[in-house]
Amino acid sequence: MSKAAAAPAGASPDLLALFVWLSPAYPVGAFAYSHGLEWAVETREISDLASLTGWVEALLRHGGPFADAVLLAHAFEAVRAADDGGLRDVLELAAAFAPSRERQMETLNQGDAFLAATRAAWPAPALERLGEVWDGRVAYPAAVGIAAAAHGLPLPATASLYLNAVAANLVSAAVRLVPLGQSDGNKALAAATRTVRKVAPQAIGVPLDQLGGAALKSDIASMRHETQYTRLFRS
Amino acid sequence: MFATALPSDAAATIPLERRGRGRLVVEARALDGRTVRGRIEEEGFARVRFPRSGRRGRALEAVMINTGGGLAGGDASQSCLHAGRDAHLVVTTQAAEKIYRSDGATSRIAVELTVEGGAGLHWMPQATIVFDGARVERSIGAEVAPDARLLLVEPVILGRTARGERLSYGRLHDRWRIRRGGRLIYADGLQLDGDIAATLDRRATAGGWAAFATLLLVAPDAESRLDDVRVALGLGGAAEDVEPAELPDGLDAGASAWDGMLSVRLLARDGAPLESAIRRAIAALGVGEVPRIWHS
Repeated sequence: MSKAAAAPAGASPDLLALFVWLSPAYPVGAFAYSHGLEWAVETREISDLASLTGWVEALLRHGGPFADAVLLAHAFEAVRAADDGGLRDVLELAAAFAPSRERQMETLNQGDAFLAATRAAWPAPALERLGEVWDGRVAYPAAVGIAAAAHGLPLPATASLYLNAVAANLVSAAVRLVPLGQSDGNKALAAATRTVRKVAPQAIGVPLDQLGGAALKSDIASMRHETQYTRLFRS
Repeated sequence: MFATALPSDAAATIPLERRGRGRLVVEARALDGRTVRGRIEEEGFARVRFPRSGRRGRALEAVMINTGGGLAGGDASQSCLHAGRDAHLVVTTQAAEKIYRSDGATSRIAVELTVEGGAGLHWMPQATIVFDGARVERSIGAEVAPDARLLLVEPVILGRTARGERLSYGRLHDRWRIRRGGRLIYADGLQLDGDIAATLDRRATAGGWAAFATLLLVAPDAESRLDDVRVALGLGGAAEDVEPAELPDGLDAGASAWDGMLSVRLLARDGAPLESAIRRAIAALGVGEVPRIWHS
């Protein structure tokens, strides 16, 4: 079991590293990506608190973020089991599992940046030898899963905080684009945490060959965003 | 599920060995600048025909036939299509494939495609119609040589929309894994389960629409066709082109290209705008026509 699980009974695991890694200030550039949401605001699919809450909830349950959590969990388990072959399979799938050019860029740019920052400030043997296992780029959720396992952090908290960070980033983008007031932004964040609480435990139990979702309109939005005339975000 | 023997449960007690099974192997090879049949294997409900009307240019056109008329719960279908070096194979189906309401068992569809150097393989079946209550797991795997071309066109219609049916329950899992030169370059997964109608009604999923398709072109020059495809679909052209996009009624669409691939996602109210968009996209890709049998 992980180091965190070895904490005395009743003690809370030390999650401080996760709060730092998944805060908006961590240098992965998350603020530059909207996961196609910028196009959904352009077409008025998202225009108020209700439509934003619905969009974010659908992505957490059926979209890219849900698939991310599945990939995060498999990367985590492969590192914890020292299963290099399994980790290679997860990293290959995570890098290829993108419906559009911008969605692939979004996950690979953040993944590479996350690994670079974490290797420098939170070194761990499993992070150092990653290059021996996989010579390609690393998708963002897989990078987070690898780092959490390398530091003995618990998987359920890692998956929940990851999903919460992704949801908060979407809300933050929408607050600026729609625009929405601070109070509506906070309500959207509160709604997202309720969904994350239900969805994270489900995602970490999904077998790798069942990876998938149903967010076709979100995928199309990321494609349409590529030719959006005025844009603030890179995806 | 096999414990009771009430008459109403009869379908659930069909033993596995009596469930339908079909397996097809089609190999195409180049001969003197055209493409001819190589090894052909047909098992169970799977058949293949090579109509004269399909012999155009260098390509060999294969039409798959399911003699069972569709897939019931527990049925399994496997298709292995192979385009040998420099061969050009176009594969389609004689009719829309129907996935019937399941008694609990899952129908399985496996498609395995291999495209050797200099070859082309176009996998473009007619639509798969998923009846309400169907349970189906489909996997599409492909191995493409770096200088070969693969075109995948897969229309899916959820429910018999012509009679007002929706897919409200059941299960659909669709898994795509495309490798080029041994490396995974494209993976996709569709997963519908539980309250499917509620899932499909969301704005970020399908907005209540029932028909969708993914087109994927893998080819050394695939990315160069992106602008033409966008224009053909009514998406406008490149970013500097300020022509407003005008999508037809009942259609949503997007196109993207990266890493030697071009992908199109189509979502439509029902089958008619979907097929029309597929025809326009294929014409704009400029790699071949839709199979003749689509016209019948």
